[in-house]
Amino acid sequence: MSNIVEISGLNKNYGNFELRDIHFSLPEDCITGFIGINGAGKTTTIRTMLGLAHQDSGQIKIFGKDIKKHGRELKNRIGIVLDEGCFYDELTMAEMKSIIAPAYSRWNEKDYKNNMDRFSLHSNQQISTLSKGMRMKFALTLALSHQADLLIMDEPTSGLDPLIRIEMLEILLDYMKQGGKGVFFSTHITSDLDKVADMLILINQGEILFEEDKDVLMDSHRVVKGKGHHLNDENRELFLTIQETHFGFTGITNQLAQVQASLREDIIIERPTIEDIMLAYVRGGKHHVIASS
Amino acid sequence: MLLHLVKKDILIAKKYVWIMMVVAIAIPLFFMVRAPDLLGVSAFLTSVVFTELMLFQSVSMAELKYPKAAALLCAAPISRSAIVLARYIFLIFIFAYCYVTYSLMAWIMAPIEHLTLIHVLTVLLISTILISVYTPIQYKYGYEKTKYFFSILIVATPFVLPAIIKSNMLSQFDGFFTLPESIQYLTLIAAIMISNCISIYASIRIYSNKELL
Repeated sequence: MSNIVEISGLNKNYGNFELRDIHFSLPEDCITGFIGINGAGKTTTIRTMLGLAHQDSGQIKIFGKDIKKHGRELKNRIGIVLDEGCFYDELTMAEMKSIIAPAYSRWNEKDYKNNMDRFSLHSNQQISTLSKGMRMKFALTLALSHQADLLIMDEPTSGLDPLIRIEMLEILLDYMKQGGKGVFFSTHITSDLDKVADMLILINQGEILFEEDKDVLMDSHRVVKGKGHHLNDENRELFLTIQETHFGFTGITNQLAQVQASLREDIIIERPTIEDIMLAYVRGGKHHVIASS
Repeated sequence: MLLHLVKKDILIAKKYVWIMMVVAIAIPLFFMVRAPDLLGVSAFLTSVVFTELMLFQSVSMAELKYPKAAALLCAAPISRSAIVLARYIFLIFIFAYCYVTYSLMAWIMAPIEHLTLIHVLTVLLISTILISVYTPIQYKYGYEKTKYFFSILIVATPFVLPAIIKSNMLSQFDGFFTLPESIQYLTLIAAIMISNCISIYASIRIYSNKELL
């Protein structure tokens, strides 16, 4: 499986925030979830990938070519869904399409019309009258109407109701069925990724904390619950994060065998959610003691 | 592609485009009624500068209101230089519209003077210089920071331009107008092109280095 995107040594400094030495790659035929809390650097990374923000150093290769040197050619193969408010609200969808469509050499009017019908969107409706969900569907329509090989989506499901989110995820799965495609999907709503992601990349404070196959990640981490008095300095080190109350503890570990050996009795082991894992890494080694009432 | 980007500028300012299309006609009519001695170059120049600057401001205001729309365009295979170039072409279209409407009015209404080629080129040069200064400054500092200065300029245009034309300030160019006509045309065309080229180059450089939201 070849890589669609390869980013190495990417740095971008804003003074009060910076991306530090970002490295990751996106394999072909994978939906990659780009996760992190708000302000972690997801949007900055995407903006830098697309040349909207200028990198201080590093290399961004898409389909094996440097985005700086082959920007136009590569952008022709990328479908973009930015977060809310990326249209001129006073225009109709037909007018907005008439501005965007000529830029793409592989624009397909038939696909556009099919997607508009599929999403029950009416071309002559003014964008300002669209709901958040409809705007997102329109953005997705534009992104899917020029035979893009890579979809880059920045927080596409943020603020959408569960029904529209599920619809959108189904569309992504349909898109992937074509083969040879890739999706890069930033979100802080990790439950969406439980359903569709193949790979996960976690960013926090401008640094990549992990890049992992989702199933491997889910299999290698566990939530462990037990009595607090079993914990000592040595076995605390086996957890990424631990929350302790007077009644016991809940921790996330990626060293389950050692934890089981150390805490032999009275522990409950559960499968974590992506959110559990994300928060464990974001809190990274922090020890939380929650006072029970 | 450039024409689609020009269309974009027209569409995002469409509320004002209709008004300014009427204003471009109304200004010469206003001169005809209130200041008939200034009909001709003064009326045409006022109409061009006023219409161009007002529409330019309208487009900039819309871009300011929807900054992520520019990001979407730049994330598509549209170069930033094309976006900048389209803005200059948009302004040339406005000039052409003003010229056509003025000429039609001069043809229909006897008091309105016909424009000579030298008049048209002179007005084009003056408006080009104004726009050539304004555009890179606006790309650099944005609409918010430049709007007050240019609002004053827009309001002052109908008063200042006729005053300049009435005064003897232009007499220093008398020597130029004694040159053979062909030299005058070529000089004006060269000045227009140089002014535009320098301004376009500066605007493209500024916009290409800009961080988009």
